[in-house]
Amino acid sequence: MRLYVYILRRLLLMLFVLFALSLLIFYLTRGLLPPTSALAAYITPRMDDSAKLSVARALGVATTSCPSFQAFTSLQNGCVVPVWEQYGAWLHNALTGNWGYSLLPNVAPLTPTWDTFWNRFPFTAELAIAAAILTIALGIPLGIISATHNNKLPDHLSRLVSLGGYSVPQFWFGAVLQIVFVLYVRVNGLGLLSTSSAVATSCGICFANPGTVTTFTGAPVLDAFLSLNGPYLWDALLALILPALTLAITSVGAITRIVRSSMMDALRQDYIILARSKGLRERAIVYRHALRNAILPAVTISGLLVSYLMGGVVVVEIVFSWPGVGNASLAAANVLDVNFLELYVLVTAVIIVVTNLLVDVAYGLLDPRIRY
Amino acid sequence: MTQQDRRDEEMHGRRADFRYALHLMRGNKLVLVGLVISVGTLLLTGLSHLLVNPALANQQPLALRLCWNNPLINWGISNVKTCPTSYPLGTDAFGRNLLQMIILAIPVDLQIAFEVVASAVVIGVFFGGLAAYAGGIVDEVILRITDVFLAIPAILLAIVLIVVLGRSLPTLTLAIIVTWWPYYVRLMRSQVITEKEKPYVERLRAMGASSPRILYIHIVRNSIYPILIQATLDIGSVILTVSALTFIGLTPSPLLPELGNLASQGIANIFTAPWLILFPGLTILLISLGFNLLGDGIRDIFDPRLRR
Amino acid sequence: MSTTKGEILRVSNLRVSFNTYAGEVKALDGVELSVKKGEVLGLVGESGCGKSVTALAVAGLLPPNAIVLNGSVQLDGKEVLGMSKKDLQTIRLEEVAMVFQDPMTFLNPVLSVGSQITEIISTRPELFTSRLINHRIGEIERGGAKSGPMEEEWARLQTALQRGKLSKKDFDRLAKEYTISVLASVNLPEPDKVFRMYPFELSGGMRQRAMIAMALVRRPKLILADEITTALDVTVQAQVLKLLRDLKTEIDASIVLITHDLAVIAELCDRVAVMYAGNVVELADVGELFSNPLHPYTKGLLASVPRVDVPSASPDAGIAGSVPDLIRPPSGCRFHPRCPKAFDKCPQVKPPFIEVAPGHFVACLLYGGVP
Repeated sequence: MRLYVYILRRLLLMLFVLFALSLLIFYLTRGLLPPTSALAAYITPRMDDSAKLSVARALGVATTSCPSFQAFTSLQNGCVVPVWEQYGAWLHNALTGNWGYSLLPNVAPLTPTWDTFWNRFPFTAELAIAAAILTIALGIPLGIISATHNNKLPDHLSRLVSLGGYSVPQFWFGAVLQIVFVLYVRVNGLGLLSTSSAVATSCGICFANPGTVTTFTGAPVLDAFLSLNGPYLWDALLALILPALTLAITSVGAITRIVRSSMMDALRQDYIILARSKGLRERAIVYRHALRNAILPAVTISGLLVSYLMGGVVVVEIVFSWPGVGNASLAAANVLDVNFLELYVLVTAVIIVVTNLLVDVAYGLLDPRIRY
Repeated sequence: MTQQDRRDEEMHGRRADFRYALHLMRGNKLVLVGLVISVGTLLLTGLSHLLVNPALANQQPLALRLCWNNPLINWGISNVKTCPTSYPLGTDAFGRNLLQMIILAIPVDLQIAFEVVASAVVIGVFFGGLAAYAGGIVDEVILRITDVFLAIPAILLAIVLIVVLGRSLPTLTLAIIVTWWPYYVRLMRSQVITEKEKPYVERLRAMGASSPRILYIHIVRNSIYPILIQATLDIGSVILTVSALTFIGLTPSPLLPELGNLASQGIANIFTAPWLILFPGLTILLISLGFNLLGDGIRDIFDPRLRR
Repeated sequence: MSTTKGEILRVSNLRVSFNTYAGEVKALDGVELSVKKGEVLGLVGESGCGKSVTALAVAGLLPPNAIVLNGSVQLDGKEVLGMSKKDLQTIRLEEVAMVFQDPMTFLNPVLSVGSQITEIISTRPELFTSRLINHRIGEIERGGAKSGPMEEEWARLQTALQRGKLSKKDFDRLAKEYTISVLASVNLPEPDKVFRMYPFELSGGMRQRAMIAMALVRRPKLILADEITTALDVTVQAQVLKLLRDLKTEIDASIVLITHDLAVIAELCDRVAVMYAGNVVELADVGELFSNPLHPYTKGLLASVPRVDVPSASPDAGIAGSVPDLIRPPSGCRFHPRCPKAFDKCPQVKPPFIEVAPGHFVACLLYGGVP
């Protein structure tokens, strides 16, 4: 199989998975909740009953033969469209970007769910990407050091970090970080780092007035970078450190473990003996020979880790009051804003599935034994 | 096998498995720590209702809420309320003794963890084994179904399920089971596929091992070890997931003694009453650490590649 | 004891143990060995007798759980045991090369064959620069292109030779060409294609030749060949052995050929050392060993080989018993439990390694050494 045929097959698979997933979520939210909850996102207070009924019909939730809106809300026979038939209308709405109006508490009325979601998304994306970078930058070196200094102090320390990271509840870790760096470590009468939002506004080492930036992307760090605003960039990064670290800690633990064990495995292999017998330098043996082999299991697991990260944002955003979609999803769960939840789940699924595809392709490129 | 493995086998002849396991235990003190913690947790679970009256969880002596009185720890925060009597870990937002609540909470979490892991193992072994053994279209279908479930993060699916099914302890458990089983199906499937290729299967078949049933039992019996190891490790992971879900508020009742639930009260008071979030979280950390160490240790002992 | 003139390797009283979970494995119990310059020494014995361990010790490649209790390994006058890492690296690049048994596990699966050779050259470029330049110059001159399109290059290389330095671009290019020519010299077909291939794309024989190429590129004085034919088919075995013999004359190296196959010994070796349970029990010229074996173990070994001219295997062919446990080895002479000629002194005294006839050494109390 050539590479593009493989990718094509995977894309088809992706579409199938997303389709099946949307069906699943759809059934869960529309099938198990009363039909009025689906309607809530599309009804404005100023509509009268006949308007509401026509909206219900347009959504495919109420049948055309339904006499009145009251009949619909009391779930009279013949008034409510069966769940599976609602799916077509829903799909049409979803693909045209019509996700109704947001029911979230602190959002102005009549704001589309679509906008609410994508306004918040850059913050979550920034957090997730920062955590991913931290995972790679911390996890891989720790794993290598652990393997090359097996059973000595660096190994013990790094195993402690990895085991701890793997076992620690993220909310607790985030809370500890905040307590230490905001409450206890104080500079100039303020906590070392602040915790209020995506840009540090009052902390011991941040700029009080970092100025403004043009909103290119909606993500503070990126916008600050593109607007060439140094102080703003610094403040945004300061605000990002603690949440990103909290989000990353679990995956740092996982990656360190895997890299450590696969490096130890690789270093025991026969080709290392040959490499040493050839007179190669120790660095070349560890990085060129061992790591090239050991990195493969780590690449395999990174698909799973992306899933971890996307799930962890919910808790981390709540602990740090981060204005992202994870935070909002909890509010959505509380007010039964199913549209928001559906959109959130599907966007996350797209990210995960695409990342998995990229990871598999990368693996194929790294391991010459696998040729598509 | 590497050449060093071959040399080892030549030099030692039969591998003394039990003696080797003991040797590993001796050298790996952390496994013992894990064992102690896990056993201790289980003991605490069994004794919890003897140590603390469960009815205390439903009381709300609000006058005593959020106070601290333990001379051993001074938080250094200005506005900490002092309790009239000594509470080793302070009181929570309802005025209950936090230490007692934690002791009551441990069995709740552990029970959920065991239920989830047991169910996931059973489902996983069945469907994973079925997929790998039957192959063909059955395999494809099962694989695609797991693909769908693995495309969303566990927490998100659990949130949706709890929103839809209502907030109660059974739905919490069910939600986590639904997100957990795909991993076990995949794991079991890959184990059985490897096992199927091994020479002894061919031999059994040639000897006329009568029905596929017998083969299934043999193969499953040999594939089960990694599953059990993963199950031990997952007890800690499930507790982390449960506590995360209750922490963000998807709990049946705010009074429920559950570690994440207790911690959730602390988020609003993080700088005024830090013990609320710290001690329940610390408990979760210790339990999860204990089971992870235990699981790691068992895996090291049974890993054939670590013979040295 | 240091090497005498004409000797490339001398191993004296080498005792090595391994720390394992089951106890201390006393793998080498005073190995005595010598290799003359330009000769092929066969090292033969059963599995587990310590042949590979000896070779690893010579190359300084013992695993971390090995302890050298005492002894010395003199390689061309230099003591290998206890050498610094940097010096070890140098002798591996210049003087001793080891070729291993199973090329599938000894070649790195994710790196191309060619790069696994050029990395040797790139490790210490200064050691290879003049050789690369001379090789290329030779190629140009052979192609009769001293004038014409290659002239500029030829001149540039001459100046580089004087200065002893090459530009990075030139160096990489020459290294690649040199590697391809080495691959050709080990009879690999289409060496430029092989250069880019990965180990899993080659056959067993081709992989083994690639490993030999890795040894050759260093022009070592001593090659340690550890059971290089054991994992190969018989026909391929013959080819590899022939290759080894041709190369030996071409680069004038000494070879220690480790094997358990007596036929290979007979075909290729000048002298033979027989090892048993961590000791060299007999050492002689190959003809002498086959016609006049002295040690009971050697006799048993030779009698075990099925021969065309002997009607049928005699009922006492083969050696009774099995390989001893090296954690609790037999006392005195380690062979005594299985020896048909053992007597009362054998469990008490470890037989010394003595020269019984010119060039013929034995470690057996039957021939002396009884106090």
